This record gives sequence, C-alpha cells and structure tokens, in this order.
Amino acid sequence: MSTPSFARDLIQMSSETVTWGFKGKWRREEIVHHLVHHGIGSIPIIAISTAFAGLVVTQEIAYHMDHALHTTTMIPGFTGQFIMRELGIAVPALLIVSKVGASMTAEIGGMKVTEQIDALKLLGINPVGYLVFPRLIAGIIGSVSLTLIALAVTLFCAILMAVVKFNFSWLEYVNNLRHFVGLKDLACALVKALSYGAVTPLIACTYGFRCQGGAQGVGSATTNSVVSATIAVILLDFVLTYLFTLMA
Amino acid sequence: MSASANTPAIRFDSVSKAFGSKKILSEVSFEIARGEIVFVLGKSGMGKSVTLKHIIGVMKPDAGRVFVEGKDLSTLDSRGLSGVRRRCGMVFQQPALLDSLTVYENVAFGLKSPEFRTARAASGQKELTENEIQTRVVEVLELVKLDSSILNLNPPQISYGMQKRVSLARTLAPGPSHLLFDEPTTGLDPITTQAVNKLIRELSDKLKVTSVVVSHDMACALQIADRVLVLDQARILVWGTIPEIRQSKEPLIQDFLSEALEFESQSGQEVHR
Amino acid sequence: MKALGLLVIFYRDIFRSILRSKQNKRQIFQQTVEVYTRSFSTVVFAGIFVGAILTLQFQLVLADYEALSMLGGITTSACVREVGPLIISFLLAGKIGAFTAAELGTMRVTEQIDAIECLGTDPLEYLVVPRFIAIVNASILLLVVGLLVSLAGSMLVALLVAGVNPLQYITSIPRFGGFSVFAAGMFKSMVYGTIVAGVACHQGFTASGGAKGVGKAVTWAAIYTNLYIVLANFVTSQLIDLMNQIFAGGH
Repeated sequence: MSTPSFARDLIQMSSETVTWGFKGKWRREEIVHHLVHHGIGSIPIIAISTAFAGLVVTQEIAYHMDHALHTTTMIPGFTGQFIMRELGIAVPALLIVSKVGASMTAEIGGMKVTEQIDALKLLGINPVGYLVFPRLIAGIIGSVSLTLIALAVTLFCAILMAVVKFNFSWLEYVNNLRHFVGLKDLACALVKALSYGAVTPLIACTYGFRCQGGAQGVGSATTNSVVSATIAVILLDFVLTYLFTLMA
Repeated sequence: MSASANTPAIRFDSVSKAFGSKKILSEVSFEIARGEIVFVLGKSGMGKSVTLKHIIGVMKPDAGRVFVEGKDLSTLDSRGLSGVRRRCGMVFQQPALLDSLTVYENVAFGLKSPEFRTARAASGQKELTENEIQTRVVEVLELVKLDSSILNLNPPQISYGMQKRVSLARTLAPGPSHLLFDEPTTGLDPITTQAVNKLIRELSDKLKVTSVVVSHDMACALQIADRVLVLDQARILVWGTIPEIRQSKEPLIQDFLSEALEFESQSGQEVHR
Repeated sequence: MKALGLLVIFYRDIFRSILRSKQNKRQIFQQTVEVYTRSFSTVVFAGIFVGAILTLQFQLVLADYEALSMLGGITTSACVREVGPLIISFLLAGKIGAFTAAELGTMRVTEQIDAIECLGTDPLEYLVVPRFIAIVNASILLLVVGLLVSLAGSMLVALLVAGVNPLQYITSIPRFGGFSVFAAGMFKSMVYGTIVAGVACHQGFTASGGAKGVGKAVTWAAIYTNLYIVLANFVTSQLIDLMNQIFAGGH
C-alpha cells in the first residue's frame, strides 16, 4: 500500500521491462493476443462513450459561446480544439485505465495468488518478459489506435450535433475547423495517447505482481491500480498540456 | 412444527436437475432419518453441493420433489421456506465469518436476525434479552470446545481451525435440527480433520441432530458415518451402511475404499465401526 | 443490454428495501464519513489538476480571441457543469466503486453473504442498502468538494499562466449563469453518485468464482460505471438544457 515502496517497485518494473525490450525476445503472438483482447475488446465501449461525449461537447460549447461572445459561429474552432487537445484524448484514456488497467491487474494478480508467476520463474521464464512486456507494447499500440478512433468518433458526433441543432453545413464546419486544428494538434494528441498507453500497463502490472492474499488481495490490488492509473493520467495530462502550451 | 418422529428428516423423490445439457441429478431418490449421520460422497462436479442446495431450497429441482420433515418444499411460500432454512443449519466450506464483527457478534448473528425474531414472536416466545443471547453464545462455543476468552477478537486474529469452529457455533446458535456440512474437512491438515470429524460425531450424539456431510473423503465417512450415499454420473451408485459399502463390488467404491484404507494404515488410525 | 436490465432490477430491489425497512442512521452516517475520508485526498488532488488543465486549454483559445477576461466564467462554467463532475466521478468509480465491488465480491466468494442469508438476515438489507446510501451521500459531498477545489486550481493557473488575477476571475463568473451552473453541477453529481453506488454494489454482490471472480467484478464495476456516467452525462445535459430554456424563456 505504501507509496514509496510502490514507486520503487514501479521504477524497477519499468526499467526491467524496457531492458527486456532491448535484450529479450519479443513474443509477437503474445503482443497480438493482448492487442486483440484488450484493444479490439475496448472498441465498442470507447466508441459509445466518446460518441455521447461528442454530442454533449458541442452543446456545452455553444452554450458558453452564446453567453460569452453572443455568437455561435465559433463553434467549430472552439469545439475542434477542445476535442483534439483534451476531451477526445482524456475520455478514452480514462476508459482504457478502468477497462484495460483493471483487467490486467486482475489477471496478473490472479496468477500471482495462485502461484503461477512462481511457476513461471521455476520454469526459467522471465515473468516480466513474458507477462509485462507484451502488455506494455500492446498497451501503447492499443492506446494510440483507440485514441485515433475516439478522436474520429467524437469529432463526427460533435459535427453531427452542430449540423442538426445549430444549422451548420458539413462543408462549412470542416472548412472552419481546418483553420483552428492542424497536424500539430494531432501530434500532441498522439504523444499524450502514447504516454498514457505506456503508463497504464506498467502501473497495472506492478500492482498485479505485488498482489497477495487471495480474493481480498486481488480485489484491493485492482482497486489501487485503477485509482493510481487514473491519477497518473490526470497528472500526465497536466504536465503534457503545460509543455504543449509552452511550445505554442 | 411437530411432524411425527417417523417422518424422515429429508426425503428426495426422483429429483432431477440439469445445467443446460449437463445432467447433475437424474431421478435421485433417498430418505435420511432423524439423527443419523449421512455422508454424500462423489467425485468433483457430481452433484454433491447441488444436493445440499436442494435441501435448503436455494435450488429448485427440474422434476421430482424434495421433502424436509415431511413438507414438500415446492408447496411452500418464502416464509415457509425460511422456516425450513431455520431448521437446517448450513456449515460452509470456508469459515465465512464476517471480518468486521467480533467472534461474539458473529455467533450471535443468527439470534439477532429479523427472521429468528419474527419466528419467536409467531410461536409466542418473548424476544431474547442480551443476557440470554450471551448465555447461548457461550453455550454453543463450549459445544465446539472453544472458551469465551476469544469472544471479543475479530476472526482474522484467531487460527483457521478456530474460525471453522466459530463458524460451526454460529450455525448451532439458533438451534437447528439438521446440520448440512459442505466439504467440512477439505483443505485441512490430518489432525484438524480428525478433530472436525470427532466434533460432528459428538454433536450428533449430544444434540440428536441429523447431519448431512458432503465430502469426497471416504476415510472420514468410514469413521463417523451411519450411512453413505455415493453419487456418480447423476445417479446413486451406492446407498447403505458402512458394512454394505465395504462389500460393494463397484470399481469406483473399491478405488475410494483402497485409498481410504491406505490413508488409515499410514496415519495408524483405527476405524471405529 | 442484459447487464443494464439486471442493474435496473437491482436498483428496484434496493429502493424497495430502503422503503420497506427503517435505516440505522448512525451506521449510515459512520459509513458515509468513512467513504468520504478515504477518498478525500485523492479527490482534492485530482480536482486541482482538472481545473488547472481546463484553464490551460481555455486560456490558449481565449487568448486568440483576446477574450481573456472571460476566462474565469468560461472555465468555471465548463468545469462545474461538465468536465468536473465527469472526471471526478471517473475517479470515484475507481476509488469508491472498485473498492466496494472488491469488498462485497470478497464477501460473496468467501460465502459470507450466503452465510448471512442462511442465518435469516436479508443480505441486501444488511450489507448493500447501508453501503448504497453511504456511497451516494459521500459521492455527492466529494463531487462538491472536487468542484470547489478545481476552481482553486483553475484560479491558480489563470494567475500564473494567463495573468488573470483572482478578482477578475471571480467577477466574470456570474456572467455565465452563476447559481444555475451550480445547480446543474449538483444535479449531475447526484445522478453520478447514484450510478457509482448502484453499479459497484451490483457487481460485488453478484461476483462468483474465487479470487479471479473478485478481480473481474472490480474491473466490470469500473467499466460499467464509466460507461453509464458518460451516457447519463448526455441525458442530464439535455435535461438541464431543457430546464434552462424553460426558466430563461429561451435566453
């Protein structure tokens, strides 16, 4: 439970995993398995959630624009920037944390309390290389691609709302959008997605490896994993946003 | 409440149960008399626990009927069913004690439950005072050979064997007529297993309760059971007294027996009957 | 869809149980305080950063329009009405929801819940209802705290990065609705709190299959809570919009 010892474990786990990336064998079939299991398995929930987020965001921003500037013509620019820089990345990231992070901790924690990880060690298999590394790679690839999907869905639904409720035409909206959102925003989004995708599996696996004591242990490890990863994502979000602000 | 002493405690009348296409019980019939100790044996997944769940009415048979003290469970409403459940004390495989409560509060749990209180009120008895509850708690703890020094500890503070005894005391507290044990000795070391077996026998003798024990341990059955029911392939393979079991020619029984005998000779224990 | 149906039935059972039996007020109060104190520091921490992130984003856009004087109002309104409740309740889904699912799930797989039932006590009434009420109470309180703290974080960033002083910041708030914004935030908090409590209790209460089953219950509690919150966000936003139109007579 204690934070310093967790931080130590997390750093150790990260360095072992990264070292394995340079020296160890990349188990391609494991990576593909986790990509399919965690990545593709998360598409429906992320698509549904971000669709609704997109619908809401146009409405909210229209409300604010109306109050602040007494015009709704700025909707595309404002919405587009907000989605590309924040909402379209944060919402899928938090969903990934709770879906992928939690289930990774539950999986590995379950293996730990049933002594399967010890069995791996006895068989001479490096548990970090076998269990953590493929999850890390799958996590990064999955997070980046899921974020791209989320961005597309959120934007689409935001435009849909603008077209239906605020009488924009598709063409007008997209043209307007291009003035405000560029490749740089996309690049920033991908950097964010990449770092969330790396941090979530590492935190999840560290908690999984620390897990002990049967059902209760797995439960509390999973809980801690979700909370820590959520906080980590919020913290990273702040830091990265600040860095990008400096660059802008 | 008073059924005549001759009605069997528990009766299965061609009970069938299936999960999807998998048959668990297929036209199983048997009677268990009051006060006897019956072991229900079988390999894993052969419907032993399902049998217990039918007795307390948590599961309903697909076909056939289950009687407890002569009452057909399928004709009872939820109040009638909870009445039957109060007569049957269930002892779980795990201690299943509430960690946030003390040993005392755990044992007293059943005595303070709404159902127990309404049942007492319905039969014209007064509500138990805190003193009476305390006396009862100490009494049942003595029955399972625990003294009252642990009353104020929490379950995680006492040993696993003690937790199992406390759990048994908790089941005994409301005064059930029939005890149902779900794998009481699974995962225990041989010495604790012996102690639990002795306890089941003693309780049966002292309190005249019926005991139905689900287990896969033939050695235990040979030691304390009056009769043994062996389930295999959704049917009753053998159903009889210990001498009858010993004479059975069924290969599965022979396997069970030879293993049990090996265990007995290893640990140098003597078979009581 | 089937999961949603089961959840609705579970809510019905809980509310029926709340109506039928009288509650132990002291126990519920104690549990509320417990849930509240356990999550307080996390929520404060997250709240500050949520406010800070939003302000960073908005000041960038508003600076383009030379409308920085609006920063306080716009950020507050967006944060309290929308982003704050959403992100903080995501956090509560983990902190409270997953915790409760783990607790009840452990009790289920170690047969404690069956034992309670066999001893003639309704486990829903004994275990779930007090937790449910306590979590709803605590979540609402925590969301309010989180929203207030997010304002502090937002003001700090406004001052340091955008050079908007706190006085300027605060005076621009009433231009964006003032009270109605907070009412909207409160309403959302209440709805989200009920979702966190119900989903967590449901997943924990229906867990099965040992340590693995508990892990699964926790995972699904977190996922479903987040999903339902996003959906509820849409619905409540529509409702609030409707209310605004009714009361403001269409701006």
